[in-house]
Amino acid sequence: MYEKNVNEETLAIKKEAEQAALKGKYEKAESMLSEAIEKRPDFTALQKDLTSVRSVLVMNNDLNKVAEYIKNSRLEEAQTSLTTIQKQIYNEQSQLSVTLLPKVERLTSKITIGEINNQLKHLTNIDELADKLNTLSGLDLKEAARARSKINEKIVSIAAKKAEAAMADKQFNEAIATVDEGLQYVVNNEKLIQLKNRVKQEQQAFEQRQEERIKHAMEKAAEEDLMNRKHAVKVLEVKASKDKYGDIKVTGEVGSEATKIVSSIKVTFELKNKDDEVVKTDTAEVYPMYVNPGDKGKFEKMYYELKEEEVTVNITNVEWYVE
Amino acid sequence: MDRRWLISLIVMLLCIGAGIGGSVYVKNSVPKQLEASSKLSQPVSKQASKTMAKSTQDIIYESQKLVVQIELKNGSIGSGFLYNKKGDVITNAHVVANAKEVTVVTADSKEMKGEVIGISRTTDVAVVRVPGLKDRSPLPIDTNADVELLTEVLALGSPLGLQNTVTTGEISGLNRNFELAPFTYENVYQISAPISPGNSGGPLLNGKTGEVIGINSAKLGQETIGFSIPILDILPMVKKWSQSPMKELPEFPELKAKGEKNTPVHSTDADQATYVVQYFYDSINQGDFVTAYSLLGSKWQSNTSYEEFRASYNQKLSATIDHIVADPVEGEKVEVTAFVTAEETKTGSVEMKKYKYHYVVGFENDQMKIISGSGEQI
Repeated sequence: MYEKNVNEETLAIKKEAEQAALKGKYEKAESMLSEAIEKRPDFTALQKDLTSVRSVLVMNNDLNKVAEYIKNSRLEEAQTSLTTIQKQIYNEQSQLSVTLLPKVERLTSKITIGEINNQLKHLTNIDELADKLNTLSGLDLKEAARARSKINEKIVSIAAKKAEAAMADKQFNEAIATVDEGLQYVVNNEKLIQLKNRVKQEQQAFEQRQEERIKHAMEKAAEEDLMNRKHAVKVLEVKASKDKYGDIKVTGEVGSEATKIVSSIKVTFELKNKDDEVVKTDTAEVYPMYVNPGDKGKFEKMYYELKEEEVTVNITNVEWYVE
Repeated sequence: MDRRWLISLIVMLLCIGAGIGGSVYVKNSVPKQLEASSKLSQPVSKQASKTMAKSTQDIIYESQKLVVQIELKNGSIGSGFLYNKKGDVITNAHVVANAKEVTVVTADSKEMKGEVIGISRTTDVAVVRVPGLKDRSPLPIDTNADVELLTEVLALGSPLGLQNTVTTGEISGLNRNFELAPFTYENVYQISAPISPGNSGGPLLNGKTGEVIGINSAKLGQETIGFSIPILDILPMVKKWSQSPMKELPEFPELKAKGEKNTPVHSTDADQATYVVQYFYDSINQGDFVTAYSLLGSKWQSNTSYEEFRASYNQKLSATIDHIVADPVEGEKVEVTAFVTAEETKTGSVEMKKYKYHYVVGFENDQMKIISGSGEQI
């Protein structure tokens, strides 16, 4: 009867120990099982249980070491031991060893996060940073959240910097596109939204100034054109004289103040007698036909039939073409 | 416990008469009656594979209801698919670029209003929220990153505006990279299923499980080659938009010119720079100094008024380019060297002079401008 009771007890302890182990209380399970084995040393199930618990204890210790490595940023060592432990768990594939898996997963995540944190300072483009965001997106740890916000911060600052540079080059749409790229990852970021508005304002101001300059240029060009058409050719000298045969000769000189070549200059004039009566109205052509800016041209006309003693010449019109 | 011990003791005492032999027997045989297996060392029971292959017919029937056609006011059409319970539809960015309000047509021809709540400037993906689709269960997404070559796939969408078309094929290439401005396609799947314009934005399904593995996108050339963006690459970004919709959408100026669609004349920056300088001299020779001035960069214009610029050509009758060379330099700029023969007037006579000019040409507010210039007589 006594022995039977011992059997029952042993079974009870075994059950309790197993439950404790599955809940992760490996040490408690170990001491309970050891105690039970002393009473029933030949009970192989107890032995098996104890072996499992002890192996898990070792692995659990190793995992704690991994955690320590991670804390000290010794990520490579952490990864190496973790891989070994993972292999062990995979080899055992026992009900008990799989209870370590959540911890393994957590540590894997922490290593990933640690690696990302280490790489962060070397990453200088938005694309690469966004890749890291993708990697972190599945991880539900507070470290991941911290790394994410660090990355977001970096994306914002890189986007802002690139946008400022583009803006300095007056490449406003490029600047906006850069800000928008940042905003697709760091949605609705206040700083970037403000920057975008500023770029738009500057672009508008730039375009307005540009427009004003061109408008001014067009006005000036119109003035120049008007000047070339209406006022560019000046009569510098004109006179009517009588030669020894009694013929009247009209000569004159014009100068071009035009900014373009002018051609076919025609000078219209009238000849008056001493009573101030117009005796002749005529037109003379200036030669050369083309007059460069700043150059001069001459004209000349002879009158054999005029019998007046004295004539004066008076320019009434000058015409020309602007080339 | 104590009581049990006591009882055991009494029982033992009572049993003394039974003799030592019997006792020995009990001691040896009872422990052997302990029968139980070690629970802790038991192997993990393998779970029965849950993903039973569905029939293609079932997959198509179930999926089609969750694929929509997206129409823009300007008449362009694309596809999209429901991916969460909020009524959010994933599509291509190029389908909904520069639009906020879109019309969504479901498989049963119901028209609904949708609003773009997120769009990428660099990846060809966007999300449209359709309140009318809220609470509908979405297309399942394949969360397993491994897609292998020759995986059978189904491409759903409304090519050419024909609603609900399914094309079958297989993954014929992995990790393809290319650019179709303004979007970069990274590590995309190449699929043997043909993708036509209206199919853009539709889902690529695993032919066995019916789960979404990609978003069908660009098509290059005339052959029936389609591409699909891996869903897992864009899912985190897309989820973020669903979680916090964009208050302001980016604009795509480069996609606005719908008239001369997709056929930009492909010229290099150097070609364009040469053209700008040539055009500058043509304008000068035409006497169109305003146009010539307008080709100068903002800094040059700010430092040199039009009058000064104009006056610098007062003595020049003509200026013709004999020879022109363009070299791209740093920062997307081009250095253009022009050898110019100029006719100049000097106190009535015309002189011919040769000049060598260096111009830096580059983009300013998306227009190519002559940023700076210097020259010398030769």
